[in-house]
Amino acid sequence: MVDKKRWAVAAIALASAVLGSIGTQLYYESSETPHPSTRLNSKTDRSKPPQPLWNIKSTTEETEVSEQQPPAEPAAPPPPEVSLENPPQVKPMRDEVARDLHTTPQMLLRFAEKLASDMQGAFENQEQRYKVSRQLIACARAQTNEPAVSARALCLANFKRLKSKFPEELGPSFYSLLAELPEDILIVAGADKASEEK
Amino acid sequence: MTFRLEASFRANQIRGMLIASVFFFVGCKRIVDTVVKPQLPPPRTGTAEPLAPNLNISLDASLTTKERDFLREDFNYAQSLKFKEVPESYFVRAFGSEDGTGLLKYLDDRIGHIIGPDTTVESRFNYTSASGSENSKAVTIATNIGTAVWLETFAQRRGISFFTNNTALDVSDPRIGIIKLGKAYTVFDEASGRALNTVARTSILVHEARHSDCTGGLNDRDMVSLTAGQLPENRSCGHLHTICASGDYEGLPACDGKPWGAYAMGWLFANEIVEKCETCSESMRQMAMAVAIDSLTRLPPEMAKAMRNKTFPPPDMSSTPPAR
Repeated sequence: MVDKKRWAVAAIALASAVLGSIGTQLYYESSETPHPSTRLNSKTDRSKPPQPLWNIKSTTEETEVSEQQPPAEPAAPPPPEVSLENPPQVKPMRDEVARDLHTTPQMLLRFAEKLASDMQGAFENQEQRYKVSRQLIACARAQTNEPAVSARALCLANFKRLKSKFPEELGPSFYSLLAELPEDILIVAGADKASEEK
Repeated sequence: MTFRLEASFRANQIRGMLIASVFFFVGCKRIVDTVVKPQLPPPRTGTAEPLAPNLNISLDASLTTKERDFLREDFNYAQSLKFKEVPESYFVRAFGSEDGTGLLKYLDDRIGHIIGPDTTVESRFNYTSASGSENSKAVTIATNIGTAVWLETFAQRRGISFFTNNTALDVSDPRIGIIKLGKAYTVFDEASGRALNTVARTSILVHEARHSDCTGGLNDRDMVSLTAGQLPENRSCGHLHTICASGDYEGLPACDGKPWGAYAMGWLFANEIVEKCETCSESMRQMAMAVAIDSLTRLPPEMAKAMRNKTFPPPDMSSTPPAR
């Protein structure tokens, strides 16, 4: 008799525990409030709306960077003019990328726009071609003003296009240029040995 | 001895019953509270419209007519592309075909909602974002915020709703694809008010779409990292940016750390235009070259070299978010 009672009490206790925990779980799943036991840290306080653990924009960044509050940046200065004589430099390009991580820097795109008209002329006119070729070589060699790697690679890639169209005119200077440029620029421009062999 | 054991057993029974009863009543009360508590309707966000009848991309009411026109122009441009067929190319492996159809499907699978630049995160999600994102001076073109919020649901261990089209949507998959346009999407050059070329704009959509893939999924360790307020160890889930180890952007979180990340996808798209587009204007080609080259400088050099030389394994375009 005692045993039966004992089992009945144990069964009721177990059922209560199960129902109680199911009830609590259901509540927290349907509620917007996080369960106190799963509270991450003091950042999530039930009395306040939960705060994200990192800056939403920087979620696509490494933690060590995103956890730091970015220093207040001064307003962006007007972008400097770019051209074949004055290709985009590293510093302003870096500044642009720091402001918008996802996008190709405006400066490089404006440089590409300038190149479009220069290249059009170079394809059509021999005199213009020689002038543009000299400028492209100087840009790729970084003879002018410490241009960014991507700007140098863009110059090289364009010179390669000119060489492909006029191999006899520009072949020798193209290959001597390749010999003196670092491999990273050749790879990015698609002008390394493996790319050339294709 | 027997008496003592029985007494101890009884005391434990009573204690167990008491605890269980407390749980039971607290649980029941909360269930009742929840059921009785009126659920707030989602905020009025205005009516969204589909980008195109054949696409599952919704244009939020916060977008201006100009932004909608630009988006439609870019998707039309993507659809119109046709390249010389090269079987087993990276482009085919990534996008499914050598024409705009595959590219459009890639975008459609990963972009679900596009919201306007002036929309605050706080007004569209039932949680508060950290300061900085809204007040930043960054002039962005577009950002994939869907993946960020999806990861946040693990960090906060609760569901987060996205409010659009006067409804609340559960952010339960990174492929919900919530893209927030930046002001630079329509006005790229503030001095002249000029817009960005469609090639550059489309390449940004291709880049942002890749952030909607959780390639390789999240394992237990990633979950622990997320709940501890850190990013997952698997950087291919969301294709999170990594700090550039070398090059012009060294030290900036503007690089791919894992194969076939968001920058690699941008490169793949732009490079296809450079190499295979026969009808593109010189201006478009130059833009594509700039995007391709810039994207490639954001990859580890060995990876960039292998991709250029086509010796790198093809991309894994899957997304396997964990079941909740």
